[in-house]
Amino acid sequence: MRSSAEIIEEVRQEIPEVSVDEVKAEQDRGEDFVLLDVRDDDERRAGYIPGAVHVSRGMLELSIDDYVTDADQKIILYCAGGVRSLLAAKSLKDMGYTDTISMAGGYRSWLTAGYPTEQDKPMTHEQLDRYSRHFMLRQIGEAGQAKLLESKVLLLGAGGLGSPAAVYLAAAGVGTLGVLDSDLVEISNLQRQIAHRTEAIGTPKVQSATTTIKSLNPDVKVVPHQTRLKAENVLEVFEGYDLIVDGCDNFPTRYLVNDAAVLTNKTIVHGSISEFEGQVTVLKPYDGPCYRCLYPAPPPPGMVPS
Amino acid sequence: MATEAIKILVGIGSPLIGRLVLYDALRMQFRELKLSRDTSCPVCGDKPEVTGLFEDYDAWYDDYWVNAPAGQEAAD
Repeated sequence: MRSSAEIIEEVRQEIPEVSVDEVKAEQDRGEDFVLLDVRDDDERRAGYIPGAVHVSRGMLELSIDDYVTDADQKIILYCAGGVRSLLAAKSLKDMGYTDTISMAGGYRSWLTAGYPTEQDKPMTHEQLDRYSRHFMLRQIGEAGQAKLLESKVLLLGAGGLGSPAAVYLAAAGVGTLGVLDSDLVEISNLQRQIAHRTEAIGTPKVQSATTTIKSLNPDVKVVPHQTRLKAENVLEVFEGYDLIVDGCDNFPTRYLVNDAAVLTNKTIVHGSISEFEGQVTVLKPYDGPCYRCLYPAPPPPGMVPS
Repeated sequence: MATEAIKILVGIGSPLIGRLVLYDALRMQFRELKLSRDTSCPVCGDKPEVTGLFEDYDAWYDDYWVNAPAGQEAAD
C-alpha cells in the first residue's frame, strides 16, 4: 500500500501548482479561467475567494460538467491548504480536462496574503431547514440560495399572473419582493389570484399579497407599491430591483414597462394569458428581442380581449 | 414565470431569452417560437427612435389608433 505522502508526491509531478499571488494577478488581469473551490459546504460558509465556483470534492466528478463544459478550459482549483485541490485537479485531468492547476497553500495562504474574500450572509438553523430541498439541487445549493436571499424582484401586478409568481418566489426565498398593483381585492379575483384570501376582500391587493407572503415566508421583505405605473414614476419604482416579473394586464403599461426596462437595462420575465392560453418569455435588453421587436405598436383597443 | 426568475437570479440553465413559449391548456400543448432582436426596433434597435419615456403612455396608446394611418390593422 502506498502512503498518502507518496500519492501526493506523485500527483505533484503531474499537476502544475500556482501561488496565491499568481492567481490574484491573473484575476486582476481579467484572464480567462475558472476558479474552483472544492472545499466542503461548512468551510465555504466561513468565506471564499470572490468569483469562485463551488463544487465540493465529494461531488466533483458528478457535477463539474454543470460548470465547465469545455475540456480545454483552464481550471484553477483550491481547497483549504492545497492538498485536496491537487488530488481534485488530478481527478479532473483523468476525466479529460486538459488544463487543471492547483493553488498552492489554498484558502489559508490566500487569507494570509490579505487578499479579499467574500462570505454569504450566514443562514439560521431555520433557513437551513426551510431551504434544505434547494440545497439538494446541485445547481442551486447554498450558494444559489444565498443569491436568492440577496435578490430583489419587482412583480408588476398581483393578479392572475402576479399572484402565483409572488407565492412561488416568496416560498423559494427571494429576499425582497416588490409588489405593484393599484387595485382592491374583489371576490371574483379569488378563483385564480392565489395571493389573496376571502378575508382580504375590499383591501388593497398589495396589502393582501404582503400578508400572504409574510405568513408563507417571514424571510421575505415585501415592498408594496400601491400605484399605477406611469412614465413619471416608472424609473423611480424600478430603481434597485434586479429583475422585473411583468404580469400586468394592459397594453399601455406593457409598452411603458418595456421601454423603461430597455432604458435601464433590466431583464423582464414576461407573461400573458387569455382564457386557456398563455405565453411566457424573457426579455433581456440587447441579448434578445424586446417587446417592441415583437410588437412594434399596440393592437387597436377593440382587438384586445379583457 | 417564477421558474424563469429563479434561473436568472441564480444564474443556471437556459432562460427563455429569444424564445416564446405558448401554452394551450385545453389541448395541453406547448409550442416554442424562436424570436430575434430586430435591429430596426424603435427602442433597442441600432438607431432607436425612443430614447426616453413618453409623457403619457395611455394617451400615446389612444393617439396611435385615433391617428393611425389608413388601412393599418393590428400590428401583430
